Order: sequence, then structure tokens, then C-alpha cells
Amino acid sequence: MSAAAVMERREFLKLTVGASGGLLIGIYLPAARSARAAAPEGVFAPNAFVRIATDGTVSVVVNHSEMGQGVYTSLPMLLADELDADWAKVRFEPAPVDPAYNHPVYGVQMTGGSTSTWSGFDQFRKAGAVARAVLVMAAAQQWNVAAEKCTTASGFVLNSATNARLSYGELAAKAALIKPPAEVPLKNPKDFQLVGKPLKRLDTPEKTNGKAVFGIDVMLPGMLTAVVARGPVFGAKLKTFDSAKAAAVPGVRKVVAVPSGVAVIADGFWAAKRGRDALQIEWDEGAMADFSTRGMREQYAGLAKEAGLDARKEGDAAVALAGAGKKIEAVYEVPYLSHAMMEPLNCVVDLRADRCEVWTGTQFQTGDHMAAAQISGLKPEQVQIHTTLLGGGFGRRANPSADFVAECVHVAKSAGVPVKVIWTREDDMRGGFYRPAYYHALAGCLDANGVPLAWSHHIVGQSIMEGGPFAAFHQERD
Amino acid sequence: MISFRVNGKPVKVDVDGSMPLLWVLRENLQLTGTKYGCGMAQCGACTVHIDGEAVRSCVAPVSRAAGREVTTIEGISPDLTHPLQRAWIELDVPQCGYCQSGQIMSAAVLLRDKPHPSDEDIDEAMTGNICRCGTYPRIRRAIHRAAELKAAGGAK
Repeated sequence: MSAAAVMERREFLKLTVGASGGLLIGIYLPAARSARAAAPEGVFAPNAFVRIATDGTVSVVVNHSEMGQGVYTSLPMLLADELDADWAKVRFEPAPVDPAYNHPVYGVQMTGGSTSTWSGFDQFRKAGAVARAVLVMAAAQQWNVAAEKCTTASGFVLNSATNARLSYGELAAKAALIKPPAEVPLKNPKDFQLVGKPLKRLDTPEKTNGKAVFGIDVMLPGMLTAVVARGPVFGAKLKTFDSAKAAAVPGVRKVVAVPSGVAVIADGFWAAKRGRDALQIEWDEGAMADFSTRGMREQYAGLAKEAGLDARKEGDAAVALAGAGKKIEAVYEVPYLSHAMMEPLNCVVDLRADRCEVWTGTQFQTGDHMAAAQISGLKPEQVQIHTTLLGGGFGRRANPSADFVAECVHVAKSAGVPVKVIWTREDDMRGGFYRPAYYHALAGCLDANGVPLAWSHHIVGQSIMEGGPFAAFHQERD
Repeated sequence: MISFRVNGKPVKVDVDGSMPLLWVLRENLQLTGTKYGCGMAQCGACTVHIDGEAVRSCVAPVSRAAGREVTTIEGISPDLTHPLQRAWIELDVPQCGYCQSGQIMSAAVLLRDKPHPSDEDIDEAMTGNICRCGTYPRIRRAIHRAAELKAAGGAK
């Protein structure tokens, strides 16, 4: 691991005096040439963001989504430790969508795969260390001493010769005018003050008094709410629909066709849902109409008997299995599973002629951003994603088609006002992107002493990478 | 027009009486701390109190609240000082947090009825509140802790 943070001038994103006279530091670290080149150290992509206001508040802009795993606390801890911040003054802020916040290994802005803390570890440390170095330079200038004469602790720079001290808040405006150093040493881990210690989560108070804002809680002036009737079969296409009964439900404003089905747009959820339930729709169920779990299982069982691709081959298991020894055969199966987040899928979109704003609990800002730009016909820089808290993610809120965001942008095009699409629990369960079903057929044999002689293992299932933006990660067998 | 009180304040809403209380609270009154999870009283995320009793607001028609006192998570204390909130913070109970309003509202009724609940009392009383993150062990410990805080005079 590198012991120093390197920051070149062109890599420096923003260093400005904000409205409050605060220090805003953004950091670009050298970008990876390709995601495959990224080592597990995870320090390739641009990232990390800290703001110190004149009142001493340290805002850590977190590029990963908080879905219960604690990144709104763990990543600020890393930054605050190197900064020698006063933990009581540290706040979190969700990052806007921007390449600067891309995942250092995946090269897109997303949260998943249990990667946030380790991939952001040195990235957030470096961001804090650079901020600390600039504050030390500001204090040294003020005292007219060498920076080496200054130390830091708990939100203050200390002058070791005079015992004078200046708070980070007091230094923020001055620090904002200083060009940050090119190289900054990181702490020896034995000197960590926060990392490795149990601290209280920063998001607990707002999660015990109803103030925490999840996507479903976002309210905009003039906003309407939509519930969408989606096809009964994956890949189904809308043939015709009769909206008369739906439109007659009090509170229903509009009934419109969207690519995923028919959206009922109303004053609130209840009217929209009642309207949706009153729709009469005819679907072309398409190629999947006859698909069944039972049929697929039979197909998988058949495929498990065929050769398939070799993931690993040593010796000749078939010969060993045909020989002497105690033979054991077993089949293990896992079914399709819904991610079943506590907070059903939802999204809010405010679409105007020149901008599109999206509020949602998402794990994949880059994909959502691209989808919203494409569907709205706007330039990427006219689209902003506001990441809210997630009532659970489990991967469902990161998917190749950005389905729940894309659909809401389509609905917003028809709504003409800000709109929130809420999936009912049933919609969410039926709406797909399941953990795929898998079928494992195992055979083995043991010698007289119970020592394995052979192991044959056939796995049948769907790729979760193929066809999506992560296909680049997909090798011959993922 | 349906009149009732929410967190001590009188409110009047002009909605169909069959509309679930949940959506009146969330959308008409903008009290979004009460959550929608299932819409069929299966998950507990929407739990509120009507005259002190736990109610799944996603299936309770707003007409049921007429003339009564509704308490939501926003109303149990103005400043995080309710024993359950103090215990929840002390033990860092929430993860994603989506279910926690409902958990706290259910636990409040349990503690009123049983000031010193056993583990079994807690498991039984809280069985209708699902947590997808699996914070159940901390919820249980926090309810015991809240019972201590309440007994020690921390109650409001």
C-alpha cells in the first residue's frame, strides 16, 4: 500500500471558499485504466470529499449508499481519523452523481458486493490526511512557524512551541486559499484514534424519531403519486387497456401507457392503487408465457447430466467414480428469491425542459444517471441523482436496466409535474431481478477409510452478469 | 371531513373514510416516519397507536381514528428522550432503519403492559414486526434496557 497521497494540480477537483467561508476539498486520485487493472487495494479511481465549515463542522461526502451496513459512519471514521477531527463534529452527506465518486474498483458509482469499506479505506484516509495537511499549513502561516512545529488533535492545530491552538473552523477560510501539498504521509495504523474502535452510528438518532428520509419519504411541491400495472409475465407487452374505471376513481389524474405497462397517476398512493386495481388490460404475454419453475427445474436437471464448461478439472473423476469406493450422490437446489427489501421500490422524478432530478434509494447511481439522461433526452450534466437512505438494498437497487428509475422518468414525462412511483409489496415481489435459481448435482466416492477419491460437481444456473454493465467482469464462468 | 388528534394536535382531513390511516399520516399530514411495508398488516412497519393501542395503520381505515388520539413515532418524544429512543441509541439498534419506527411503537405498548418483560414476552409481543436486517437481538436487548431506564425514572 502506498504510504502517501499523491495529488497533482490537474487532479485537484475543487478547492473553494463556500458561502460560509468553509474549506471544500475534493480529491482525484489517478484513475484506473480499466477495472480489471484495479488491485484489491482499491485506490485507483477518483474519490473522497470533505468540507470543513467555519463552525468546525466536518461534512464527509460519502460515495456509497447507506442501506444498513453502516457506511455513513465507517467511511467518515476513516477520513476523520486521518484528519484528527473532533468526532462530535463529523457529519455525513450523500454524494451527488459524479465520476469523482466512482467506486475505486468497479469504475462506476455504486454500492454492492460487500466492497465499500475496504475499497474506500485508503481513499478516505488520504482525503482526511490531505485536509489535515492543508489546515496545518494554514496555522503555520498564521503563527509564522514551520509546519513541523504544529501538531493536530481533535479538531485543533496546536503550536508545540507556544501551546497556542486554532480550531479547524477558525482555519477553514485561510486553508481554502492554500494549494494542497503533493504528498501527504498517512498515519501509522497504531496511531489510529477512531478506526478499530466501536463508535455510535451517525444515523441512529434520525432512525429512532421518524426523521430519516428514505426514497419513499421524499415529498416535492405539486408532486403526484403513481402506481404502475406491469405485465403478468416477464417480457409481456401491453396490447390494449381500458382506463375508464380507473379514471373514475376520485383523486386519479391521468392514466398513461409507459414501456413497463400502464401508470395511474393520482393525488396520492391510495387513489393511484385503487385506480391501478380498476384497470382492464390485455397483455401479449410473449415468449415467457409458458415458462414455469417446474419446467425450468427439469431443464436444469437435464443440463446437469451433460458435460458443460469445465471450471476445474484434475485427474479423471469419471474413472474414479466408476471404480471401487462408497458412492454418494446429492442434488442441492436454491430457488428464485426476491430480495424483499423492507422499503418497497420507489422513485421520485422532477422532470423539466432543461433538467431532470431523481430522488431514490439506489445502489447504482451511474446506471440510473445514464438511464434518466437517455429517457429524458437531456444531457448527462442536466440530470442529477439525489441518493436517499435505502430501506435495504441486497442488490435489488442495482441492476443493469435501472428499472425503477427508468420507469419513473417515463411516468414523469406524462405527468407534467413531479411524480413518485411507489411499487406495492406485491409489485416488488413480482417485479423480478431475483436471485437466480441454481441446481447443483454432486457425486463423490470415498475409500474404505472415508477419504475422498473423487468429486464431481455440476452447476446449472443463470449468469447474473451477462447482458449487463458488469459483463466485463464476467469471465468464461462467473 | 374526519377529525382526530395526532401527537396531541387536532387535525381535520377531507378524505374517504376507507382510506388507510397510514396514507393519511404520510401524505396528507406529511408524517413520514410511519412506513409502508406490505399494506396487509404482515410486517409491522406502519405501527402507530390509536388511544394508546398498537394499530397497523396500513389496514386501519382513517374512519377508525375519528375522534381519537393517534400517536406516531414523531410524537413519542420531542427530543429523543423516550426510554425506548434512549435505549435504541445506546445500543445502536437500527441498520437500514426502515422498520424501526414500527418496532419502537410496538415495544412502547409492550412496556406499558409489562414494565419488566422477559425475553419470551418480548419475542411474543414483537413477532409481528419484521426486520429484514435482522436486528432482533439488539431490539430485545434495547427493550430490556428501556425497561430499566423507565424504571429508573427516565420516562416521560
